[in-house]
Amino acid sequence: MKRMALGELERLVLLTLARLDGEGHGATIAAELEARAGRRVAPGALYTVLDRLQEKGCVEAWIGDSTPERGGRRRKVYRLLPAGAREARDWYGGVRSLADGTAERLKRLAEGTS
Amino acid sequence: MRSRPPSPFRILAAVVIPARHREFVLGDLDEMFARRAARFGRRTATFRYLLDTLASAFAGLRPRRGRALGSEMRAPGSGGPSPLGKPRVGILSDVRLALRWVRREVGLVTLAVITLALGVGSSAAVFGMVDQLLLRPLPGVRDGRGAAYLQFRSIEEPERTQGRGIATLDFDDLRRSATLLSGIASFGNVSLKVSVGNARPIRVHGNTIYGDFFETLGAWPVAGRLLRASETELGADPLKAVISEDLARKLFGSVEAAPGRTLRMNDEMVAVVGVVGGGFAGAERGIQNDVWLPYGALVPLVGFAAERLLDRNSVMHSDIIVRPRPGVSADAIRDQAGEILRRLGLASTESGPYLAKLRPWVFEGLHTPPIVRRATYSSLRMLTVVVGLVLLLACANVANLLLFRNVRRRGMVATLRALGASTGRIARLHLALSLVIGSLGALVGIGVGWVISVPFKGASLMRMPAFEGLVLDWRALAFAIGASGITTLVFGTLPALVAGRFDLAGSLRSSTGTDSGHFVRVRSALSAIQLSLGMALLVGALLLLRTMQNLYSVDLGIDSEGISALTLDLPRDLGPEDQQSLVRRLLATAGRLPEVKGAAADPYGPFGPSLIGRIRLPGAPEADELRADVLPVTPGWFELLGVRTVRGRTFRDTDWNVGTTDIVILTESLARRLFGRIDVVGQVVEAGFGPPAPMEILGVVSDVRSAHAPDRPEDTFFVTPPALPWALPYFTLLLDVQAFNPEVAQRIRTAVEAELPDEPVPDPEPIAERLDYINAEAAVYTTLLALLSTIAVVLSAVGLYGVVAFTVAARQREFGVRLALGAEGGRIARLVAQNVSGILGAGTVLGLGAAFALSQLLQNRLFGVEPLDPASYAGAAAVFAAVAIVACSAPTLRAIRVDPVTTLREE
Repeated sequence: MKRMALGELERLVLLTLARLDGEGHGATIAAELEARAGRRVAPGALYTVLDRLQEKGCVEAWIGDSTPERGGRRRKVYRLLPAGAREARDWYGGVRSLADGTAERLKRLAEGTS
Repeated sequence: MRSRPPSPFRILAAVVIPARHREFVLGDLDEMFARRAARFGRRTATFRYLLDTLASAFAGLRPRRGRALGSEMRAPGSGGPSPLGKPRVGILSDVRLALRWVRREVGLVTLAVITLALGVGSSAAVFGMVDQLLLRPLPGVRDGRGAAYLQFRSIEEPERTQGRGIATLDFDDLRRSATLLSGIASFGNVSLKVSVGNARPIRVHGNTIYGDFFETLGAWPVAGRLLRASETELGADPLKAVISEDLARKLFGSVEAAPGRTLRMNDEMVAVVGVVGGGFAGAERGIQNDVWLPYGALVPLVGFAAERLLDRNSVMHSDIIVRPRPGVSADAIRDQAGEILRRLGLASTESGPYLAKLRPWVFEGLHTPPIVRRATYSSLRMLTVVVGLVLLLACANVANLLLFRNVRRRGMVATLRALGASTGRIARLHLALSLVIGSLGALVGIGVGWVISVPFKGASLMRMPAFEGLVLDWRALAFAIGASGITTLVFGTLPALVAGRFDLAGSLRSSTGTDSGHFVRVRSALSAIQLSLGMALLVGALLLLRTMQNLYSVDLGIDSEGISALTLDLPRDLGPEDQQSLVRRLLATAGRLPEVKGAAADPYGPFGPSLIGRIRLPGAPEADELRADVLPVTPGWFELLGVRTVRGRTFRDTDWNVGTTDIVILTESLARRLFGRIDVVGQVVEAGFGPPAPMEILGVVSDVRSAHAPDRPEDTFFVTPPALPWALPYFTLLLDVQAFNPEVAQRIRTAVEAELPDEPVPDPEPIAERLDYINAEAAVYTTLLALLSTIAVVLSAVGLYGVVAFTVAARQREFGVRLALGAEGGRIARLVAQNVSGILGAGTVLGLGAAFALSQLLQNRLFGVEPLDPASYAGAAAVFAAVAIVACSAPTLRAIRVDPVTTLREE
């Protein structure tokens, strides 16, 4: 299968969706991203990323319900599609196998004590 | 409690976030705010909300790689079926596209912005002047627009803008009967010596007031209280005053310290009852008043006889302010005042016949005093017309440039259309571009306006206060933004409309465009109009420049070079003879200073006010009597001021010392008017300040002219100071100080102060400054018109350049073919010139016509130059010929250098 060209943020968003049981909207994705990965992403920028993922067939979206804390506005809910899940899995697998066994070394190198 | 971000931020977010995801982004922002507010507190949450809002707004602005311009217009959902339907495109993405266009055409956009800025800047500067002179409320006056000036003019002289007064008793009647008014008061101007304790007095201007003056104006006290109507009436104690905040600070150190204190005014003790707030300076713009006294104060302070204030022949109430009751029109007030006057006129009082000839005039709004209102309005009308023309020029240029850009970019527009963009969408793009140019233009325009207003700082205009320059308050900002907004919206949409109908296929085929006859015609017409407007303004400026030159070069008959004037208050209790000896002492004191080469005196000095006297041939009937300026002068006056002796001699010290009063000196033109010749030494005339008495003519001197009306000699006769029947409150020392500087001024002042211990002594001023002051208004108009016409010339040059450049671009292929077939450069240049000559010809003809119309508007400002002055017209035409050559040379050169191969390849 031909690999898709995904950016780092796009992959992080895919992983975040996976953490959120495959489904999430802007505010929950942004909160999770910030809490877990320390990435602050403005909702506007997030939608640009999600649009791109949707174009690539990684996620699908629909209009959800409205809640009082949103000022009565509707949510746009995104769900991870199998293609997206595969992308995330393959990427994460690659990262993990690369990282395997480097934890100690990385720690030493980062602290500058060889 | 549900927590929401502050509403200004919510509104900001709703405006700046692109429409595409607006609902969801706003919802997310609110949701995140609520969460953060619960965890970190409202402040942190608000801060993050703002950051996220801005980041979301600009998130879409970053250009996306690998996307062609126009992809915004792609059919929605082309990447696959979208459950979300059609994405919406907001104005922000239009602006984004427009910004990309701006980046591609920096030169053109810069030109458009500069053009717009020149137009907006000059009109903002003029608006600033109008605002300061007319629109801004009087300081310390509440609702000055709701009040009005009431003036009485005689039916015999309706053109005299100085109002006629009415007597106190008649004014009382008017106050009682004017039921449509909620307030009415009169005021008069006084000049007073004011001091605290034993300090040297200062000179202060003030008003004597009668009626509910402060209530009518809506003034308020900041300390103590104001004078009530009953306190201004004649029975009340007149030695009470309200003073300004400035004066309170100057004399007592603070506003609060003033009430209850006593001031010495013209040697009487006056109690300060309060201080008026808000920078109040009186009921008329342009005069800084600092003291307000009851009308009755004229008796103790100025020396009026108490009976005179009640005399029906003493018509003192001429400056009147009124406040109508709510809903009452100016016409209704005028009608009622007229009715009251008619009744008073019919009454069998002494003043009846006089009142019968008066008619009331109502001037709504307390800003320009009635005496100069018409002149002010006509000046401002002229300025508005001129600045409107400049703005129009700028608009035409912007439209021109946008049209040009349109044609150059028609390939791009065609691509957009081919991709499915609607006409509305393209029009919106044009609007967005106008928006970008408009906001830049407004920004730069404010700077330009500020620069333009710099030369006018401190200029005295229409007897109005010094112009502060273009103050960047919200009014000026609003004007600049409004002017450039309307301009660009109107002139940005025009090209958009034109863009709506052009040949799509044709434009796609060639990027340069072939058939643009329609554009060329529109643009040529625009350019011709521009040229004509620019030419008209230039002619006007040249006429005014020549006027200025004439005003300064006219021989006023008085050589003011190196002469300084010192106008002094003389003690009031001196009789005429004591005054004479004081003036003699002062002249001697000043003459002893090494810097002073000569000294003389007269009441006001040259170019100041004058005294009017009567003169006639002996035994002539009263009807043949002449009114003429009469100047009591000391010996040496003529020699000091360079007035030549033509026949006989001038006054000598002995004439003054023995108190001779029956000798007179005439100017040449007065001698001619009276006798028909100038050999009149030894003849007798009847002359004087009051009833004429026989006087012997001692000599005849060269003519003098008034700087206010220099077009003909002023009828003037000179007498010795003892011929003055009363003591004048002022006298002016005229000193020949060739090396005038502040130190010398200080030395002169100190010497004079020693002789006048109890009077205010000002600094001596060079007489040349008086001339500058008198010519200031002409100077303001000249500078302003010169500036505006320069801008107009630049703008029309840009316009012409645009047309020629465009024409050349449109005929590029034709020129290429001609050059390929062996045509020489000169032949191509001739072709371009043929094109331009039509524009130039039409522009010149129209321009001369417009200049003629403008010169009629300027007619009463011109001096020594005809409205149809050939030199000015020829000069303007020459300037425009030069401008045309400059504007055409660059595009013509480009046409000649065009490489035939490049052009032909496009075939």
